[in-house]
Amino acid sequence: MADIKFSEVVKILEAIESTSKRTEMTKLLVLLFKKTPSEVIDKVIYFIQGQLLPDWVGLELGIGEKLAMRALSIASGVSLRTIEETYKKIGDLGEAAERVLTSKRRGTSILDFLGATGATTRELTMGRVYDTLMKIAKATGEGAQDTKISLLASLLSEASPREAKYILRFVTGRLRLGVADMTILDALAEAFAGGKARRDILERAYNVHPDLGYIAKVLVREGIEGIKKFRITPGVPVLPMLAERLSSSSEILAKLGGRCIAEYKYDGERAQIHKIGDKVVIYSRRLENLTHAFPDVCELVRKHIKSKEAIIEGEIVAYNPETDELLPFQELMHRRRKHNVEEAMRMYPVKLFLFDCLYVDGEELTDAPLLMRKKKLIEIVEETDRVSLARWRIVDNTKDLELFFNEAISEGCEGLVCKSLKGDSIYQMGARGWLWIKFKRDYRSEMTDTVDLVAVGAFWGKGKRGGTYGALLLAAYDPETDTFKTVCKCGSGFTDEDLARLPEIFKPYVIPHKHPRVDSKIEADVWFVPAIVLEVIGAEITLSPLHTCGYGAIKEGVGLAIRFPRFTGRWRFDKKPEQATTVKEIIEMYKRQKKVVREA
Amino acid sequence: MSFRFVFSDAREWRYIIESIAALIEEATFVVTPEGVKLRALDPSRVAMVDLELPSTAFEEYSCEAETRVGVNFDDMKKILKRCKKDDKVEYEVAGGKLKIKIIGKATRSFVLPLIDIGAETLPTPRVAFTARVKLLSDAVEEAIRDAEVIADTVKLEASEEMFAIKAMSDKGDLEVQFGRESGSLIEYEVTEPAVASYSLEYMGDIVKKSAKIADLVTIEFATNKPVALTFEIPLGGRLVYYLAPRME
Repeated sequence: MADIKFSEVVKILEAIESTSKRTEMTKLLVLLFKKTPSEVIDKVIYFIQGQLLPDWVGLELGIGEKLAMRALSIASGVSLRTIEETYKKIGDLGEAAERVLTSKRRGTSILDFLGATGATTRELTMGRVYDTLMKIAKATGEGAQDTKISLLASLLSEASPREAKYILRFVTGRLRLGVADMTILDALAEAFAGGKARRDILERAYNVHPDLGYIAKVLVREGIEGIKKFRITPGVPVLPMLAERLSSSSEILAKLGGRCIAEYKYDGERAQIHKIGDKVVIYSRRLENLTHAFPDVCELVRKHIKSKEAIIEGEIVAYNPETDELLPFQELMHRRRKHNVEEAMRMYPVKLFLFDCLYVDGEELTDAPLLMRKKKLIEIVEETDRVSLARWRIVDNTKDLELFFNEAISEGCEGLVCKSLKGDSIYQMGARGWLWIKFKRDYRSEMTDTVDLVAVGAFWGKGKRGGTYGALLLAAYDPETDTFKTVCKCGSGFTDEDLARLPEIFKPYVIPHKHPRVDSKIEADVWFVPAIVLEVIGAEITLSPLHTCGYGAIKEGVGLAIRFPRFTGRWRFDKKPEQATTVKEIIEMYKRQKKVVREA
Repeated sequence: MSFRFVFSDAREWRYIIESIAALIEEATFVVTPEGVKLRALDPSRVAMVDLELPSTAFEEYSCEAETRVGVNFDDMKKILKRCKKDDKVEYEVAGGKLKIKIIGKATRSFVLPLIDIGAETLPTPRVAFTARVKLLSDAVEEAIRDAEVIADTVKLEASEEMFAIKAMSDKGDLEVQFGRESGSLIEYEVTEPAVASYSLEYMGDIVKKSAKIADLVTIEFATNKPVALTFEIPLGGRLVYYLAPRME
């Protein structure tokens, strides 16, 4: 099979490393691509990208620095300690390998001692390097580690010091050539498609099939006509559409023509989900393969997406099944792990909120307007308490938009995504455009002090909290009207003991209707006489149309709410309800809140 | 292109294969009317294994012409793990397949595909050794296991008086001495004092498995030269390992 010497690839890599100009980089790549036989063009490209296959395949070499050093020790005959010391001094395992191999080249192979004339010194080729690395990645199960080490050692023992440098950098994930995918596309267009004019066609192919090795192979074999045939394929991720950002409701409405879809922007993980019969694959926004981390989401999709094949987009959000509260992104991050997935699944359950649909049973929908895509999504989703459409509505005035925005914030969302309703509102793969606009706050506040709130009602729990309360409705005191005004629903921070005792503690205060001194827009399952005071801390105080505390004080039509409230564990039985934190104090706290400016 | 042989002690055969598998992934058996040979390098080319079994080592042996059989040792090792005490093992190549029969209370036949391994002809090893030590393989195994506690390299030293296995690192030092009077040392010849270091990873893989095959091992080496470890197989033939030295 035609191949290219690995030393030739290394030469170009060295040249790329020493330039900072993108145009020069492109030229060097063109040179390399033209020299490379079609059989290994994909391997060369993957190597330059520092990966064996596109990231979204989720293939890992499984070699850390420790193992790499052991392999180097075996291949070089230099002790592990010397290698570790050299590495410590230089700080780059690739360079360390180059140095170690240069100085200790002699007397490492048994062949050197056998008077071997037949000892063939084969020159490494790109194919051999890639195939060996692939074998390393695929070694699994018992003894896999030893197999990986010996394969890498065999590769290094055949490599020149310069080649070994790049192999080790690749293996430890530190190739850092700084070659962007777009630069590789430029070079491919230049080398095989007659230059810049065809660049758009290549980029479209990249959007629907982000695999540069594959694109190069098709381009070399079938020419640009082959590239034009690229279609969305279930199982292969497409580059996600991105949103622009504005922070005022009037600007957003103006940009979108006065009328738009406003949709909750959940504080979770954006997921592109592919369903192929019973197989489900989940990709992150950056197209990492997250399937292994979310077996529960896969199961939900299998059960509740009615089409045979689909590519849908949504947000995976952590929640508390006992209170039904959505939890912040940090909680969901516990799910991003490789081991103990089952345990993480139990401890951090999630919901799935779907917002788009790109493909259903052979039909590509990316060129359809948003409302059509939503309609299709509604058709294939069977909504349950864990799978539903992201909350959305159509708005045509700033007041509604802001109310909806504040509602989203107080329910634990980051804000809204406002989307164009027009006929041209297609799904723009890989592009950030004005069809979608994020409506987020410029700052995030921080609640630094605890508050003492009065329990005025409760909600029945589910699951483990069945038979007891899942969350309490809490209120601040307003001395001017002598009423209690609600400020949050709180179900976090209770120990199992506290939880079990809740109905008992509140039993003397249960009444069949809302207490006349309680001012609430929310309907509780159980109402109390305001009596018991609890200490609570939250993430921040935000505007909320759902709560009555400070209603109209900051802005017309909205009150204040505590976001992500949590019981500190302190029951303030020493305090009378009239001694609870007052509405005025909460308003003051809102105004004084430290505002942390968000990064753009 | 066919042959058939029966090895009367399947467990012994299994130890030989496991011992080779500790270093080699794939290799080619060369089967001739005279016997079975295998010579292969480990993937890193630090060690070489050289197996020779004369036809007389087998209970039954038939081979018309030289036949080459490429095998994956990992797969073969797994099959042979299924051997019990008192089983026999039969190898047969016919029709492009390798048939391994484990003959005991029942006869179990495994059929493996033959793999094509690039035939790299390895030269006959020729090294001028200056020290030759024959000793109990158990004693060597223990010394190597001791050394593993301390370091990743082992040093062999042969002087007029004694043979020593040493290891040193910042964790500490180890020295195991085999004097001429010690019961473990069976034969000892030194034409010139010798000192050389070897990878413990390899040494461990070799000794731990091969000590099961033979009670005695012959160690030959010279200063900064490879070491040869020879294990005589009780039913006839021998298994030799060559290991390149480490330069410190």
